[in-house]
Amino acid sequence: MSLLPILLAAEAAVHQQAVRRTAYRHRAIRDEPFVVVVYNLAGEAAAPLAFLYGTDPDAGKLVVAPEPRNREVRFACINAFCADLVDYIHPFLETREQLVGNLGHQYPLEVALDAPQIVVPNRATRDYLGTRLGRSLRYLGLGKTHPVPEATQWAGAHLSWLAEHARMPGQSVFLAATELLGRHFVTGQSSLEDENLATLLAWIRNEQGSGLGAIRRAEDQRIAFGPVPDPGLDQRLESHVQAFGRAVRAGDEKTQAEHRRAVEDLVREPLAVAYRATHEALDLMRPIPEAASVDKRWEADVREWGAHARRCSRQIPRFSRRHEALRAARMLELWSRAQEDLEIEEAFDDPLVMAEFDAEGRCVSGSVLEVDDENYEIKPGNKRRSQVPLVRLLASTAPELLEGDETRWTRDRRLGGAIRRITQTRRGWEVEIAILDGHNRGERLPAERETTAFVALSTFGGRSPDGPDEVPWTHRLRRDEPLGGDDLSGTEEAAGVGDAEVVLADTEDEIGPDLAPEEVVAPPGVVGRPDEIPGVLL
Amino acid sequence: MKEGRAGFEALNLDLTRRVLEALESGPSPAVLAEAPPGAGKSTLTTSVAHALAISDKKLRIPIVTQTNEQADDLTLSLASKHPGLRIARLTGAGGPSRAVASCPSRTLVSTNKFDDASHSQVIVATARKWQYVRADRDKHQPGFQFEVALIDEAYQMRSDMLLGIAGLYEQLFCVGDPGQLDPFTIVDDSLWKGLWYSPARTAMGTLRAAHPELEPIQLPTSWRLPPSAAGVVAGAFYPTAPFDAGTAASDRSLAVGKASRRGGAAPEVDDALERAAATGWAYLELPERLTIRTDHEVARMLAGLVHHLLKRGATCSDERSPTGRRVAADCLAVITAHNDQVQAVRKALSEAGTDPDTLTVSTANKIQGREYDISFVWHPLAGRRDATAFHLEAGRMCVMLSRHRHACIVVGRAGASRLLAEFPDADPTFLEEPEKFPDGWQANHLVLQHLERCRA
Repeated sequence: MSLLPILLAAEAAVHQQAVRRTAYRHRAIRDEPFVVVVYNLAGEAAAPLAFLYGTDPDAGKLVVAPEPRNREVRFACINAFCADLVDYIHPFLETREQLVGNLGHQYPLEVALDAPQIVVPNRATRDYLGTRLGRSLRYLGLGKTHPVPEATQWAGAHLSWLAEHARMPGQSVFLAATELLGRHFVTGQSSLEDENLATLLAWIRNEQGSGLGAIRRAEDQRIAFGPVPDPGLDQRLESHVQAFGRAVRAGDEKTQAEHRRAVEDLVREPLAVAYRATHEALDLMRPIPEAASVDKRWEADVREWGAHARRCSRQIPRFSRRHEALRAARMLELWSRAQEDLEIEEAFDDPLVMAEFDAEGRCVSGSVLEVDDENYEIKPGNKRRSQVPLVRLLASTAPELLEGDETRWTRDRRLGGAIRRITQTRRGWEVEIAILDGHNRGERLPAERETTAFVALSTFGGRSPDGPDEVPWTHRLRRDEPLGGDDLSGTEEAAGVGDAEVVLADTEDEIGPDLAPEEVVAPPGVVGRPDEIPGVLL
Repeated sequence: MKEGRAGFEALNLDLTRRVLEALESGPSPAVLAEAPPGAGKSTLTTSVAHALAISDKKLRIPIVTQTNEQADDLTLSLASKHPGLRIARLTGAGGPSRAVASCPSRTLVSTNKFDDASHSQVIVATARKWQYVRADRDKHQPGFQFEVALIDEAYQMRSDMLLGIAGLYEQLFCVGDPGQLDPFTIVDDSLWKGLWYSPARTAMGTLRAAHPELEPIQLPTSWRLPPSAAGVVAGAFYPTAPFDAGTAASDRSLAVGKASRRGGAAPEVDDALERAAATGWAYLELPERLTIRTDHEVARMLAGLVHHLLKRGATCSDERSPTGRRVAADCLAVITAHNDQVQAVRKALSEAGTDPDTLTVSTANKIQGREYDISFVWHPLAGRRDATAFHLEAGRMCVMLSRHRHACIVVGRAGASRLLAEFPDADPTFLEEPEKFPDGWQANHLVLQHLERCRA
């Protein structure tokens, strides 16, 4: 890490106010994102107690499951949320045929026109919605599972897609407010504490020099923004949850309604605070001018969403439990490239981000003494001489880059050159940079006497190699056929699926990229009668 | 005196024969060789490539390396050891390095097009480049395969890289050092934890999980490390595959010149240099302090050690030069954990009056596979408040402590052992994820115990 964020954190602590880490906004904020806050019953994997969600900051919708361990009650709540989520997402599934690909290799493809944007207060809520709830819903409707409306199955598929896409560096489809604010602001507290949206917002909103009072109060409010309620609230909820469960078993509707109201009343206020805070985080981000590359990344989001939309146009997409080897390698390549691109784009878009690289010693900056665009050389790998302009900079401090290091011009990253020579003179350090590409026949070059900088950030712009079509012998177990094939025969015998019990297939049999309904032999289910044994089995 | 140079060559010949036999005899799709630092891996790779090439003139032998630097080193060493061999260095779009481009060999071609390289007997390229070749063959020549390929530094290869190229080869010979740094990913890989074929694991981990019957050939001797270091490194980092130094203590000697009376160094600097010359190790401990990563006191201390060593002058003798030779600046290396520490040391060196370009200052990641007479190490835990998995990684420490032929001087700060004892391990545990072995915490603990005994 660069020293700069440490310095900014010290500054924030001294002034009792968060400071900006970036000059621009590096994520897309859409007009009406869908904000979701949720409480889960403590100690359960995916047993939502209440959702509050919507696109209107003043009118979120609350749905509650007063006893989420009861399957009927839980699904009544989940189904209501899923129906609204699908209503929001569905318009984005519209696709249109377009010619894509490079010139010469164009082909028609159904592409999405826009993508949804879902925002939650913190990373934990994002994990909960995507990885846990999405996972628990996505096999429903297959085999002997609890019957649910189609919308709930669709929501399982969408949440599963979102969970995976959230791993793409720089994506703006599924945002956590704390992560979003944390990228753009530095507070005087630890990054762990920044995961509390209430205090993070208090740091940002605090007037400079007004003391830590407001920040402490935000911390002391002890409203947890989900997915797990504050233990104090949990305690108050417990008696109503128990009483509601008893009333369900006794068939006492009046008592049920009474405790349902009590639970609603208890969770409404804290969830509303979290809901408003998440919208507020978006309102804080909106006016910050958007960085130049945000559009490009949003287009990548829409392109990826388009692939999901195409699958959706056939049937409810099914997701494997695990990536098989080819897909895992492909995703690692995709996400690594996105991470590299993101780092570079943010730096070239934003002088404050570039300053962090400078503080790390990865820049050479100074005033331009001379630009020699008459220099011709044989570049490595070439046979003929070509124009290699030489830029000589005068740096006031010793450059930390070395001779031979490859650099790009911070003002225009198309321009790249290698450091040829560093010499110490009486005036300072003279750095000669040989411009090897992107100078557009000498047109695109720094001007003499301007103060500028070159940064050692490599921008590999080429295409990733295509992955193999089949798993090679090195990644295949000897006794088996290739992993992730369509042939899942034998799985049922091996897993020994019985009537009473659902056994999870536990090896390489479960990992096809798209499982047809009949191929999913291990759906989540509930053991026995739900009221006898409380607990959701995933 | 142990066998020395002759012993090394005899052993290499023997190993080459064993590898060839294993490749020819078998149904086995891969032959693995595991080696400690400085055991002659590169020599084995080149001699196996050469032996295969002379056994069948028509054979095309691809060699897979992990970095362009490794590919260049291997190409040049092949070209100088086996002048008749037709070698191709298959590069990326950036073209060959200056060293390869200016190599006088007439049987060496350097190209970025596979078709131009395909007539050579040995084709050297990075795994990444081979992946492009494989993708291209899939399109234009489906089913194309080489009979056998050599993978160098296979333990530094990631599983997804092997996945991307393995289809090109019927059989593999993989050489590597399991004790060095594992490959890393720049994105969160928790999604694939517990999968034996996880793309973020080492290629050898995946290969051996899929083919448990593969038994690696062990290279038993380190020809680089002096006897003073072999025991320490083997004990801390290779507990299951112990190895010896190939030389005896009497084969290697290091002597530093007289300390100058005026304008000399602080006494602990002279003491550290003399102790290192006499025993092969020295540990210089600065007072306990929490610092930023580019701790200038540590940087200055390292620079001072280098500067005074060069000023006093040092001579060494070993099996390569039994009559002794001067230790030149280019036989020294300063090794750090982070890039910005490299910059800090370079700056301190030029302030001390030593040109930083005359020696090597680099990070553990970049210096893997290299060899120096004397190394100066910035202890990764110096001045830290936390002992993260990165700073405890056994492979990093192992690389740092196994680059030298004569002596290793470590600069740290007091409190490292307390930090080890007190810092809780907060990394999540994943089901079915193999335990890292050797354990970084334990290895660091053993190293600190050893360093305590060499304190200047």
